[in-house]
Amino acid sequence: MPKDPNEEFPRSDPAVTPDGPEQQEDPAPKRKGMVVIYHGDGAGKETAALGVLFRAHGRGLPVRHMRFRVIEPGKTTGDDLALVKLNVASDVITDASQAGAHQLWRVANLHLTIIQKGVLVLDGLLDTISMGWIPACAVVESLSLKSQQLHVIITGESAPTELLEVADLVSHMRAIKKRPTGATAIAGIDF
Amino acid sequence: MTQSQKPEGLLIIHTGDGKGKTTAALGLMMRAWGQDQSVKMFQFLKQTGARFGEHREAEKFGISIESRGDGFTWLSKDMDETTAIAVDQWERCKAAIEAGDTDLIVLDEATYPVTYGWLDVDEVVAALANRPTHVHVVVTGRDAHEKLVEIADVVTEVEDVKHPYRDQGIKAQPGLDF
Repeated sequence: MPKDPNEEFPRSDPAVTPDGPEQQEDPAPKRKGMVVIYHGDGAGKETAALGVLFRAHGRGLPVRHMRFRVIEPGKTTGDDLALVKLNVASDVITDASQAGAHQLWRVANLHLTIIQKGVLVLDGLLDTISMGWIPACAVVESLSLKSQQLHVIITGESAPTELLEVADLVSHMRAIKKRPTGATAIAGIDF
Repeated sequence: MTQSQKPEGLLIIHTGDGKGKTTAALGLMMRAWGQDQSVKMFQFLKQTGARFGEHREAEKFGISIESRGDGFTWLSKDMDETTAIAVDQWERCKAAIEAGDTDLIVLDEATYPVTYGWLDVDEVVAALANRPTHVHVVVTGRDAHEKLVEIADVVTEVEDVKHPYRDQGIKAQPGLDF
């Protein structure tokens, strides 16, 4: 057991930031639209992006979901069904190719220009960069032009240095334990 | 889906110092809820009756998120009371898990009461290991106890690479962080 709980569990940990009258409001809290990256080989990247969206939607902020990953044809994902239930607009890549990625990236650029606040999720965008389909510098440039009130959440296996540099929050999801390869995908957990 | 077709439930742990543990659990809840499964979240530490973005959203859509805690535990004047709240919350978690009628149960920040000794790790491990086989349980929080990691199916360590509060002095923002 840690001797000084303050060290182990710092007060500034937003995980336990209270949302009541106890909260000491800074007269001018430093806030900005964040670029958030969830990357790594562990589970939880897509779901973390979804979780942010859930929270923001709960606060009444505008949210939009974009998926740069191709889902098995005919498979209905819990993510898509949940977005429909929440009445959240989403865009999905239709073709796992450079052309498909470009098409969705053009739409993403429109969103990045038009959406002034809230949360925009670019799920799997990092993988299209890794594939060489979308240049990292183009993403960095588009992010630099976005509104200061818009949070952008980007996910994928690995992130290029240029993007890590401009990101405000980066978490690396490392797989300590994974399900065995070839394990049957479970509805509600894996998709 | 009938009982017999249900897959074996998984024990999933989101641990580590980085941001995204609770958030990923929320996303997993959303995914399961999208698949018309029943989901519940029990939060430790976070103040009883907290009204974060997730609570507001969950309320709108009939998803249960129960937070029981006194917030900043190390500021607590009465540690017996803090322990009692955690034990009481654990009893609720255990009852919900044993009832077997919820597909996915999230025990948010549940690693801390174990670390601080408010809950007995062996009791928690036993309850999770002997749960109804179809129930998925997600545990979040830093420093997951090795006994929990041992019985888990999926463990993700969320590593803190860049943190805006530390690196830029930016405060936690409603909608993004809570």
